[in-house]
Amino acid sequence: MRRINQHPILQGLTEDESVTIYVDGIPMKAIAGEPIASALFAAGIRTFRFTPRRKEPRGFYCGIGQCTDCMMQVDGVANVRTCVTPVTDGMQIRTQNPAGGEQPCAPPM
Amino acid sequence: MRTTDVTVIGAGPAGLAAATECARAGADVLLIDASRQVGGQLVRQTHKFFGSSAHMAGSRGIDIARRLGKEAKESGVQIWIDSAVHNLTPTGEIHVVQDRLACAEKPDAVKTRQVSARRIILATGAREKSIAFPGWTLPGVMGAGAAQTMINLHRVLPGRRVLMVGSGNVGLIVTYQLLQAGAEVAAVVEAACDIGGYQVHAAKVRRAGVPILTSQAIHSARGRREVVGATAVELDGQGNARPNTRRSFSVDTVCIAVGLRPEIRLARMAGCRLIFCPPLGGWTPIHTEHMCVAPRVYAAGDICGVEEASTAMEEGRLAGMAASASLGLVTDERLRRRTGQIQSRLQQLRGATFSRRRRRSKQRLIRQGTEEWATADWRIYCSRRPKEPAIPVQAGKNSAQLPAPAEEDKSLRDDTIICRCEEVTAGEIRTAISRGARTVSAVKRRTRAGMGLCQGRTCEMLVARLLSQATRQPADVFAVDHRRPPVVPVTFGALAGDSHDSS
Amino acid sequence: MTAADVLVIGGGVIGASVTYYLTRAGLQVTLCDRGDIASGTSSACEGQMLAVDKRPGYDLDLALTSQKLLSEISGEFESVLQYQQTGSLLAVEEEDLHAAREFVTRRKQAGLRVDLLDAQTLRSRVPALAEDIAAGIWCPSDATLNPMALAYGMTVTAQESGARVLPYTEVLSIKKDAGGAAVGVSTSDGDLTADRVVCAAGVWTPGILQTVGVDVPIRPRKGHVLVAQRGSSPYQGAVQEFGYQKTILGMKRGRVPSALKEYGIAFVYEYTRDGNFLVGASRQFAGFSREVDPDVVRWLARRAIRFVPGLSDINVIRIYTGFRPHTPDHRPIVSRVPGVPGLFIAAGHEGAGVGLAAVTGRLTADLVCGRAPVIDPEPLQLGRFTEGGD
Repeated sequence: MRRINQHPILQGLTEDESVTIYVDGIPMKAIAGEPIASALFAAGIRTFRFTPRRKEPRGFYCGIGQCTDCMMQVDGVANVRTCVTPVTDGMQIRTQNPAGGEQPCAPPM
Repeated sequence: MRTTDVTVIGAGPAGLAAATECARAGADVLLIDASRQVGGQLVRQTHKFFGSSAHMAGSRGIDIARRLGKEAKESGVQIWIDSAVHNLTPTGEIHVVQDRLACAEKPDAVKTRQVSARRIILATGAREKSIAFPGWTLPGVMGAGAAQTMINLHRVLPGRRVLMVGSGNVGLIVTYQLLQAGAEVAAVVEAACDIGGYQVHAAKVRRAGVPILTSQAIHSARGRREVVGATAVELDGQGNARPNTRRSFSVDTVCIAVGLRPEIRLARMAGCRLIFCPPLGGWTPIHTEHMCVAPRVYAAGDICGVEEASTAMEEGRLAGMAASASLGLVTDERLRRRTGQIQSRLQQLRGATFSRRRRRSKQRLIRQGTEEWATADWRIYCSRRPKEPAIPVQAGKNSAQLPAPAEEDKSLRDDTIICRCEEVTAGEIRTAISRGARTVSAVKRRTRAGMGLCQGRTCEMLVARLLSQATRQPADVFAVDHRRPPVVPVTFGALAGDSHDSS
Repeated sequence: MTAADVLVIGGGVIGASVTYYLTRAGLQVTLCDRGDIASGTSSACEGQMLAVDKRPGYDLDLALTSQKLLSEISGEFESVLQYQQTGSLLAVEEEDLHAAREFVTRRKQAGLRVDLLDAQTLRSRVPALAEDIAAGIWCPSDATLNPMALAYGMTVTAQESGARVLPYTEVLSIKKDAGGAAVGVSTSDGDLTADRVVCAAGVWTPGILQTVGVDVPIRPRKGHVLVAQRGSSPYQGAVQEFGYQKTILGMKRGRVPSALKEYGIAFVYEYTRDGNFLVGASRQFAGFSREVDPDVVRWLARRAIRFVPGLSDINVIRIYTGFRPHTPDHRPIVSRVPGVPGLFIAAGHEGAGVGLAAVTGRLTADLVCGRAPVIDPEPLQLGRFTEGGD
């Protein structure tokens, strides 16, 4: 998708506060303070995770932190809601469960 | 523990107006909101409002939000943003997780706080309804509100070519705003035979070349990794799909705008009595004409039935005025005069924009609220909460007596996901119902539908619909939000409560 | 309504198991519950099937018999029980080390496979535990399962063999004939007749048996459980603090905050196959109020973080409360009801109902059918509570 630079009502975008985020290892620009989800949409990425049971793709659905579909792994933490979590410089964002299955955690003895 | 005269929960138009009213009356007011700015839905509304100058007609939502926020601050309201209420106890304590949005993923920064309030005003607004169809979990299918947030707040296009589902005001306005932002909208489909929203919005959409197709329902979205297309189907007068009427759209995005419902979770925790009013969005607390929903608890705005920002502000003022008066901050005379003014403006607003059904529903809420108040048969806030919601007993009649299942909606195939969090399908839910589940929570126990992170917010109405189809009872019999804390996910650390407020 | 051989009151794990074993014995069974199957305590508890926490002797035998029975029949259930033999771990604080050693020795003598892990071994196996935990008691044979799945599985299997299941049918009273024998029940949906009646209604048992003048010393003991977000589990198994044993048995606890004693709080952790984990536990006598008490939750969270510090950052998505059916001697009641021929009781398992469901169902079926019992029923007699006083 893309950023809306021209809008008949809203002012033009000011991109002075730009940060770098890493999405599955690939660096890209984002605007400081915007949520992770919009930075990814601006870069054309809409698939954020795969579900544990059916291994189906999911993305941005409710946009207000309620439905939890947009969860990704951020700076090593799983299940981060990207629609309400702002980007920070150097943030490492990963597609959650790219191969499906549960997040890794300590196995039983 | 922070003590306040009045705590207002939700900083949309109703909450801001209520808080300002109380502060101007001299109350110590705290306004709490979960998002990062005040204004509620106004902050993404770039269109101009209708109505009279008293309601800032001609202004855009984003500007009204700024103005209301400024007024609240100037009148002395203390505002906590990024603060989510996760519990409202029977003793009137409000438990808040702060900086939740900014810091949810860095929990060391999360603070918890407790507030005790002499009066509580609930202004929690509404939330979007969902509709399930094959492919609705694909990336690219999203709420119209989500798309609006993406374009107007974050300034990013959610897709290039969109199919809008629903022609209410939200569907029509977001369609137009998508066009303004540079997206294409293939069509607006509307299951009803008439357009739901105002003609002026519909005309604008049509002038821009977007067809509004009535008696058409979304059938499915398709794609492997993301949406690459969607199919609509024509409905007959009974709401059944007409054969051979499928119509395919080449779109990368499907926006869902099938209505809003009052956000009542906190109202339930406060012990409010709810009744089901479809014209106002669903379950809604009954209230007096002073917006009182329970002893010491008031409510205003969309939580009391989905309306508009302008009516929400007026209801907020009513609630603020009544709460202040009950604290002795406003004379009876002033209360009467001011309430009269606000009521007549509300009447004017509702007369202009309300359908008769909605007006009557609203009157019913107030009549019942007033009656219950008068007979003192109102659940006392601070006492035990109601055991079960107002579900008629027959909701749980034994399986031997159930009528045969109604003709099921064929578009909802057994393999369609209903609970997005736990990935529970319509088929699994139908099996649970056939084995004896007769309530939303019984279905939840048997299938996990509603046990995920969103705690049923998205799917509970859909589960209710399947129950309704199987048992031939109205869906509202089954659908009530749960009332146990936490209302939002909260960390063990925040629950332990050491970090900020151990006093 | 058609008569049944046996009418079972209560569709929790106990009633479901009784129904299953009676049906398997060839009897025509009707099961009724005032709600759906597993809508009471069985959906408001945890799913641990423990032997390690049972007193060596009869209680341990009972638990082991139950584990054995369940492993024999679990394959029959259509629904997945989510049975996992992950073992159980008791986390021991420094002050309890001595008691823990004795605890292990006694269980080893009784033939249970159980080991005391030193602090270093414990940490290498469960890095999530707090560094100052002194030792761990490890019992590899213990298991967890999903209690609701167990109840659904047993009822569905019984139904397929001819049992009749009536959800949303509330039993109002037990009916007796002129000779004083139980002959059925009257329900919210009319009367049901049966040759024999088994009351497996957990904490609601006393109210039902009151209708035939029988006193049952079962009291609801309220417990809070916190459910954590899926995919965030620090450990995929079951852990309890050793001190929990003291809480259950009402023993004195050492240097812990008084709120923990007041609320009966001890750390209990259980990973579920769905990927969530549950954290408990509290034990309070608070009548039948299901209210979530924020202060209990606060102390539960604090206690959990004390044992697993990493929990601090993990989300709780749901909190529920349930009533454990408590008896004065912490043993269930599986018994004929003296003075009312044809009436049986299978209830009062407190927190052990899931683990003891299988043996309770089997033993009840043995008593009803008059065949050789799978285990000595004497210690579980209802009469034990009155005999001492006579």
